[in-house]
Amino acid sequence: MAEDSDLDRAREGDREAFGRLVQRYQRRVYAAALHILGNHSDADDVAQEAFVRAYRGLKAFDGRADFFTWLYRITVNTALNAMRSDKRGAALHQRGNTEAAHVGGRPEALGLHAPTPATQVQHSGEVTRVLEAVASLSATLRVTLVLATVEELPHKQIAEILEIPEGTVAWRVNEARRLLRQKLSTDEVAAAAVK
Amino acid sequence: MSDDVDEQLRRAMKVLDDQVPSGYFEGLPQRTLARLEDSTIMQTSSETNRSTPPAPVSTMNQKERDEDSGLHDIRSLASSTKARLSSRRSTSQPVASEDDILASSSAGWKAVALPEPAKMVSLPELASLPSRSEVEAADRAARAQLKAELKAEKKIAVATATVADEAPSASMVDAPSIGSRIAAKKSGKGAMIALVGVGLAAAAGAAIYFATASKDKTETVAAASRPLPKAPELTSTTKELPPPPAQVAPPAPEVPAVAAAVPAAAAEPAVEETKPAAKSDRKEPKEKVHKVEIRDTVNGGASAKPDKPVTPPKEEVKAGGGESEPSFDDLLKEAGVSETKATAKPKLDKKSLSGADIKAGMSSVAGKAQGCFAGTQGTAAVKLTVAPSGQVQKVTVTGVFANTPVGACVEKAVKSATFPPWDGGPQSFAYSYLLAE
Repeated sequence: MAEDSDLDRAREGDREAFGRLVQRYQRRVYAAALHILGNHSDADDVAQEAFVRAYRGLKAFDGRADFFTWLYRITVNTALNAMRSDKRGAALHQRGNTEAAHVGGRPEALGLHAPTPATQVQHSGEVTRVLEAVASLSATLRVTLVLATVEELPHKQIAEILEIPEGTVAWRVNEARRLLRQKLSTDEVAAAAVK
Repeated sequence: MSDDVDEQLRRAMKVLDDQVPSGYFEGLPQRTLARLEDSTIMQTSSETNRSTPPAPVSTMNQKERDEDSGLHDIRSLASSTKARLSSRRSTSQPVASEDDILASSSAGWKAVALPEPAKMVSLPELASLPSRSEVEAADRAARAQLKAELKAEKKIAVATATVADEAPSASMVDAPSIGSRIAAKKSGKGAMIALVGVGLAAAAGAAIYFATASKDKTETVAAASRPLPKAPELTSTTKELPPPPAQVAPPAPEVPAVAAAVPAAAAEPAVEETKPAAKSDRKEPKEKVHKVEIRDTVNGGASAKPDKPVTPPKEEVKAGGGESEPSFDDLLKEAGVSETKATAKPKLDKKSLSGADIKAGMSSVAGKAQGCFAGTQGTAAVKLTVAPSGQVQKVTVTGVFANTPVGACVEKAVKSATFPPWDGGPQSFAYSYLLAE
């Protein structure tokens, strides 16, 4: 398989081969980071860092687990570290949507422009509320919920990635859903009262 | 309900995903590799002695510039600054003066390098020095004084030596004081040291004499109180034993007499002879054992033929036991202990409760539990522990009916449930009943 040969070459220090691996998995890694952290700049940072860590740890990768699962684990751990270190995820809703669209602080680097009014309106509504509610969850609950609901990974794989029992995954998903529902219903009530 | 939340979450995340432009992923591998390069450079630059300036921030950075990502500008700036600092630190020669170096060194080193000012060690002026004749006269006077002192001390030493010869015991006892006096006077050292040495030797000799004399005394006393030796063969075993009354009675210390008595003693019944041995060796309670030992010792070797065949004591005991009495195992078998053990605890095929067993057991009391409904609809969650016998050990009602009369009713109902017994430990599980009309 091409992946295996790239993996072997990357393990021997071939950076081009590693670049191909990055190309193959970048979307999923970036998406996971984005969904966990909730903003692009942090997701970009975490995705790159995860790949760098993966490259450094390639020699230790014994191939027992699936490479993607292993890479995912690194991504999740890097994202968790980022969240714990400076509470990036918790401050998601305070940063505003404009910043969330930036990568490296320079939106033009990506061909991005300021969000359109339509986007802003969209964001300011339900999406913002949901993102805020997700940001209010604890790091572990948020990660588990995102992996289960958004990434749609099976519980078994989530258990493998997070290195926890499957039962704990199920509990965390249910608990996160419960808290999310509670938070969203509270917000709805508050919004209705304001109106 | 959960689907609704999931759907909302997916929609929100999709909005986030949509904001990522397509061009972003084209540059991500290159940026990742550049980052990898940067980190590698940082690692190598920190690992090496920074003797050479690190490689220029590589061609990858040029590519980064083309990509025009702000992060990489900052990174390249940071790495180039680091490189500049490290190269300056390693390549620049020290331009500081020695004073600066000394000033920056530790206080201890400074103290070693810089002694006190020369005033303290300078010589006095020539005018204030005494003339040669004055110095010689002073020297002569000092010598004469020293000689006079030596003469006086010699006289005292001779006097003390005579005193010591007249009373050697006193000198032996008082040796340390003499020694201290000698040290204080510092005269006639050789004679006095010899004297003290002789005194100490005499004291040591006296001490050794007394010690050996007292030892001899104790040895003779011990020898007098020791039992008489019987025969050369027996010495090893019977030396410490008190002699039999018949043989000790004649107070004959001569060895031949004792030796003559030994065969007679050997001819006597062995039990009598071994009594003392049995007294001394309390670990061996049986007489038969002693018989064997004594015969071996006395007659010595293969020529000795005991009346009965000699067997090791343990075997003898076992054999005796085997002949006359049944073994403990046989007794147990006769009593049927092992059989009862086997029959007392029959092994069960079932090692644990299966789901079907649990369902069956809990369903059997479902009617009772649901009969507890008292107007409030809800689920009564029950946690219970079942003993291997199949009886319910412990029941706890949790949830909305916890600590309520309905909960107590459900608890009572569940306690009456029975399960098939199994072989193993108690088993705990949760179950719930829907209480409704």
